[in-house]
Amino acid sequence: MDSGIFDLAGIDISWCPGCGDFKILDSIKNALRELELTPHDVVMVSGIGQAAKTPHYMRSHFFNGLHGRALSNATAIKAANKSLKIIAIGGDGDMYGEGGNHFTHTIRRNPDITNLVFNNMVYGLTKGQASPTSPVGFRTSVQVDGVQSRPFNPLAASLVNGATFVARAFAGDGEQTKEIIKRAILHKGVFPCRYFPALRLVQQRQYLQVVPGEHLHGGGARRGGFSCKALELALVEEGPFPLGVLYRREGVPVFEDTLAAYRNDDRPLFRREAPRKAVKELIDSMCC
Amino acid sequence: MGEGLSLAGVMETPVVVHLAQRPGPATGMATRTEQADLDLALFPGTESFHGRFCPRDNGERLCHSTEGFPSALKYQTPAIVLTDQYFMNAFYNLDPESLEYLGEPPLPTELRKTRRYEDSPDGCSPFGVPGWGKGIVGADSHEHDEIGHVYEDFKLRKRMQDKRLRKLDGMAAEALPPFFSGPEGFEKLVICWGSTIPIVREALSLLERSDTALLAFEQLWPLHGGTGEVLAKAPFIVSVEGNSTGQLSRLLQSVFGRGSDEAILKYSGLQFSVEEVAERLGMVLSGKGGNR
Repeated sequence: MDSGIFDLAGIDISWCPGCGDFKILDSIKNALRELELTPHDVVMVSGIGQAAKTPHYMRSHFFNGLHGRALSNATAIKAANKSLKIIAIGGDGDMYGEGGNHFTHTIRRNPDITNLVFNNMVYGLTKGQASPTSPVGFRTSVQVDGVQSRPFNPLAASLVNGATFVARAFAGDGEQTKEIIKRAILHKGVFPCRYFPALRLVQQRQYLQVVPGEHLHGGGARRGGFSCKALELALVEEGPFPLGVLYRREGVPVFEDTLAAYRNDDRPLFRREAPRKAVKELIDSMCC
Repeated sequence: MGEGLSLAGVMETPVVVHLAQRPGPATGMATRTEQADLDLALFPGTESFHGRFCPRDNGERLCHSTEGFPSALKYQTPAIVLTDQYFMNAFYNLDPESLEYLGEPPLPTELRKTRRYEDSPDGCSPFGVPGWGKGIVGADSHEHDEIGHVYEDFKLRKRMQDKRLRKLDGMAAEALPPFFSGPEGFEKLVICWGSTIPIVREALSLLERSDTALLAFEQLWPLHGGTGEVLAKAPFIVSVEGNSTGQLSRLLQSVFGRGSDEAILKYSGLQFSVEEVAERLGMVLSGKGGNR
């Protein structure tokens, strides 16, 4: 297979030199290649922000829509064509701030899509204002006295709302990130994955530790369908932060499989003809 | 609503929106009727490009829904079918022979090249979907190049905006003409739109005035080009609208330089009755007030 199949030539990338987003982009392209997918199998879906520009920096189908809406667009694209691999991508501000409502309800809906969030704990596109994951006391050009609100915990929120694959990776470790992305894409269900790309990769290493093993649904202590051990790891609020696949659960029905449109027909919607006969019969049934 | 329609405008996504109007602002009177969202339907995004259809009755509603779909598909734009709560709560029997069935929608093109937003004389590009053909399908909310990638290039911006604007020429050429009834040499013209059309027509038939004609609008954007001529030769125009500011009159004034001279407006939350329109219109057309 062509090693550069997902590369896009002649592009002007607007990320700062040294940004972890470059490493994540490489990890995504490597993961897709190793899964033997082609640019025609994949739709990259995003909202607004630096991370949300990712679809413009690689070769595949893409939908770069509005701030915070990537997960809804991704769910709809999956519903229109089940055979596509859908990756909804964005930053912490986009996914948890503007897209917070969609984040919660997409987990409940459980479409077979992958959600990758580049968490750098600021709104990078607009020059570093506090985001939903900024820590209390964090000073920015806008939050001059420090952040007052407590940070949103996306991993814990994913777990308690029933996400079936929850992982955290460190952008600086391209190999681990790639492996987690591959497993996330192969998993059937919605997968929130979080990253710490950040600008200060070296300083971040000391705050991270790899979690041995996975905390699967059904094994050991659990309540309400999620693993208490996974939740314990997700709730770690001060480094070192656990990395790896925190939780995985198989066999949960996915959204698109529950749709009437696919009950007797797996073809994507664009392959089908309008049901003119059925519409005419419906109208005729009212004319008696 | 503005955000979604604006997105569909720049992405050139066909979408049909049914907008059933109620009195506002905000929650207003949530289960009552008004015709006050015309301005909203006309200007939902920054120079977005779409058709607005306003059916006059339930049979027309089906037909105009079918009008909206081909227009949205052909021009790859949003189309708004504008009705109201009165309309949605009305039901009665229709002659099945009068119904037109939904036409065959055009299927997407198999993209062989990678340029989803290729320019063309009518502004319409090949409409591809991901997963069919060898082309890459991209969609972007930013200003974008022919492939769909974001570029802040001043010449590109103008070229793409001009391409999208050209679609309006085709839509205008295919616009539904307003429905005209009455004497050719009329002295007074009554204008209205949407669900008030059958009510105003019946009120005019009760008044039996030989000097008055009706011009009723079932498509409000783009407006049919012949509209201006009819307005220009009207010595006196009265609009009948279910809103408090006369939005149709203002639209015609802005496009053709000729709005109404008098307006009969109702915005209590209830639809006009035939008797009410006949009484108020009778007074206005005789120069005896009645506009309030």
